[in-house]
Amino acid sequence: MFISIDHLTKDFRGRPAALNDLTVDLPQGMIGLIGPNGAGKTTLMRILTGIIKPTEGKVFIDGQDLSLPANRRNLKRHLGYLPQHITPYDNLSPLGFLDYIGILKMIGNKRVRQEQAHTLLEQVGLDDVMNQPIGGLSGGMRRRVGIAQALMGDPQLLVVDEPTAGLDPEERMRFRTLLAQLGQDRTVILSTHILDDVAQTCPWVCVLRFGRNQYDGPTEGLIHEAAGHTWVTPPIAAPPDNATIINAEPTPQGTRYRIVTDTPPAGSVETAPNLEDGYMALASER
Amino acid sequence: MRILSLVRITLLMFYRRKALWIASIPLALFALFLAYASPMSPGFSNTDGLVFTGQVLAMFTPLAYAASFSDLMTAGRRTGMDELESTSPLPMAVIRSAHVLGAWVICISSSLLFLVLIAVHQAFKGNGKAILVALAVALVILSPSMLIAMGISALLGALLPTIVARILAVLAWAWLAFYTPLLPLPTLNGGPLAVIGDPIAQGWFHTDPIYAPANGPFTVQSGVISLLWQACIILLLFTGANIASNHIKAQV
Ligand SMILES: Nc1ncnc2c1ncn2[C@@H]1O[C@H](COP(=O)(O)OP(=O)(O)OP(=O)(O)O)[C@@H](O)[C@H]1O
Ligand SMILES: [Mg+2]
Repeated sequence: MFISIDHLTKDFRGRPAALNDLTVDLPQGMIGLIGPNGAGKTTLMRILTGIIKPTEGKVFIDGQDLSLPANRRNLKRHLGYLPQHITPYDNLSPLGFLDYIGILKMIGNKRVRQEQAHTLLEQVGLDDVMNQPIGGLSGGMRRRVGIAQALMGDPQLLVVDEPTAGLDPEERMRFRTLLAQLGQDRTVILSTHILDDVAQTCPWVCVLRFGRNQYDGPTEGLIHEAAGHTWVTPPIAAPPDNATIINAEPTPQGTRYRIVTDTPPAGSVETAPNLEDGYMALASER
Repeated sequence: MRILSLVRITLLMFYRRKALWIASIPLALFALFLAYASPMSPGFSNTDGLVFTGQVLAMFTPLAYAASFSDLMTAGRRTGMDELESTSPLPMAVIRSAHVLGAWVICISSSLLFLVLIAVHQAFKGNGKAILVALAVALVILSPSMLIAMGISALLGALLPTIVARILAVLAWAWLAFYTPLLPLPTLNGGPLAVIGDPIAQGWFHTDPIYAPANGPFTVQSGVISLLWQACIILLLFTGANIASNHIKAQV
């Protein structure tokens, strides 16, 4: 699915615009949506899924204008959504809950629903607890129930808002692999604060800041923002000035910093940037 | 068909709600005790007794439901389930109706069980139509009153803070169901708009009403009017609750 976002603005009463004249085109495939807290990621996702309406501007999905109810209804037949904050009905078991979501997604045949639910719960590693009440599951397990429900009905457009928040490292890796498979023949919009997830799975990335589009394009391009500006300092006593510090590694001689800057301290070695460097380079531009 | 599957799942959602059972079963037992021990009681041994028991259940058990369902339309906003449900191609009104129906089945089940037990006992004693009467009483006397109490609770809950809504809904039901000349309040009891089944009980089942009718005995038509009126009220309450909760959501 091809998503075209055209001069989108969303105002919540008495606040600065959550989205501010945002224009961006998103191609088919895996798209990473990143940006600081409050940048408008969740707001954008809620508009893309038809939950709220923008104050101004339009969204086209495969050329279909989402402001028309018929197009929204049509979109919902092919949509999977994981909200940032969701507490599934805790009286239901994961299996029961996925069955419920299957009904909501108009999968009429009960056997089909049950089979899908089983497969998905296995894929997110919940086979052992699929019949226990969700209320008794751990936070990360509930998150995985949320991921599984978003995949019910094999949606063509998958919108997942911080899906890996609270997952243990093993599960995060497993989820990445699952996403990468899914992204081959559909559009997945993934918001996250874990840049590594984006670096590993998303060829395309969009950076929001203050409701505006700060970067959109290939992930490589964002990494490239820091090319020629990423350095590793020798062990020094105090953090360097005029530099964005990416990480700090203590050594017996002092601290070794990885920095993004135009003016590295003497003795620094230039190094190949990664997505974190690119993101921070972009952030420090403003 | 789809709505039935939805209702089935909603049943699962509600039947594990312990508070609902803890509140409603003692009230149902208390109502049964009153229905048996009250000086007005025709006893448990005949059809009149079934109708009377149904009416007393219809007065008392809705107190529990008035207190329980203030979050019926708003819980989803807190849990994020509203967002998920609104990405379904099914209209929200259908999903919410399924929730209401599921909750209703749970609510009526305990009272219905008691009524049917009494009816089965009567059937063994030779009252051939006892079970049919029990089912009819559950449908036309108990259900409307339960749904009205739930609807009041849901509507107030969509408009007011939940705890305030719970209290007001219980008070509202108490006003609707219990009338005493000691309080200088107008009442719907005694007229065709009563919500505890007097017009239907007297008009259709020919039993003595709990509150004396203001303008002569209730007739078959009073029963029809009463049922239609209750259906309208139920529809209005839940539609209002649905609109109110959507409207409040739209503001944020
Ligand atoms: N329902 C709402 N009512 C009022 N303001 C809101 C609402 N939802 C979002 N906002 C505001 O809109 C802005 C963007 O919020 P949003 O949730 O989209 O950010 P985000 O990028 O998802 O942040 P995070 O990374 O913390 O999840 C914030 O300033 C927030 O306060
Ligand atoms: Mg967010």
